[in-house]
Amino acid sequence: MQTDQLSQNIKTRFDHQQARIVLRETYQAKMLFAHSGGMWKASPELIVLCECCADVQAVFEDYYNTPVTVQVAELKELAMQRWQEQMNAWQAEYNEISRQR
Amino acid sequence: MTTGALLFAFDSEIKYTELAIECAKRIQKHLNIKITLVTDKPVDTDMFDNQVIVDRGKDTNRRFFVDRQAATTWYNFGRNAALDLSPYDRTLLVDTDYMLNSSDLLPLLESSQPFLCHRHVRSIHEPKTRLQTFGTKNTHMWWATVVVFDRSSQFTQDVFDVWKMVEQNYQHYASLFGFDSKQYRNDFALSIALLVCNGNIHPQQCEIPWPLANVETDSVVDLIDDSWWITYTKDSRKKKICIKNHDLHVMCKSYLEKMYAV
Repeated sequence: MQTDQLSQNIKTRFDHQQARIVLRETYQAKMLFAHSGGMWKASPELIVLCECCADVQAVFEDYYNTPVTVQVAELKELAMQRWQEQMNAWQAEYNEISRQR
Repeated sequence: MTTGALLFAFDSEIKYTELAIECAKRIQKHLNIKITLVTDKPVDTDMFDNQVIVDRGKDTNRRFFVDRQAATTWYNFGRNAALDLSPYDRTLLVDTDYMLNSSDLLPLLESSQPFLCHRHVRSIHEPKTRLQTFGTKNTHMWWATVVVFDRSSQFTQDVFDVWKMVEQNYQHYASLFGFDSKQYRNDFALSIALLVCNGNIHPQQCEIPWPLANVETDSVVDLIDDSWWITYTKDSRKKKICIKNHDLHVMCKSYLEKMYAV
């Protein structure tokens, strides 16, 4: 490898700002899941909606604006589980890229 | 209901069948679904559950790839036959340069949306996602890189029929929408098909809910322990990022060839 090429490679900096943007997008995609024929995004909004719904079964609007009949407790459990898992993974990876040089 | 992936690969200066094998390994690892290869000559590998041999046709495209520093031929006609060629009820149709690094596509295969593909796109080094347009009418471009479709739906049947019609009458649609007809683009044909089948309204219900992550041809790519290191120039400075657990459309094929020693 030529010296100037080597020097350029050393000067190449890790783009933290861009890495964080892409990382957020990565984990936004991972929040999506299919259930009862609908597509859902695990989010505080969905979890709170499930929490507020007293019925065993209810009709919720899914990601694609389709009304879908769901078992509320089942959907809440799936949403909660996915949300927690992905938030933890996001944080771990966020911390990892913060250490990159 | 059967679910599987369908890959099209016709070798030229670029060995697309070799890229297809790498792509299949990733599909197997992350999605664990059956895979069918559509090609013109049988490929000696057990990576595919099924190989469909078709005539690749005489029509070719040529394009200058910055990373290869050469004009390269590729055969991208006949992709609209995917519906007829797929042995699955629900199919994932992917380009061989789409590198799966996660199971993000699984919910799409489990959902009941009849047809899904990307509309928004992000160049991996750009801060914002964008909506690409084409032609003088600035028609929104839908990407044919990743397509999920259900064969039982009439909408899917219509989209593939119109896609085929656009390919067969490409010159006509090029003048109608005001784009260059020299190179056939499946993205354009698919975009027109979706627009026509949805009554001249962009079908929001067909959009994959996250942007397609493109690694542009002027980037330098390296794969180290499942991490993609991408180097690019931003504001006249060389920068790099590391991508893990995120699917990438790697457009600089020369790096893929080097990485997999194709």
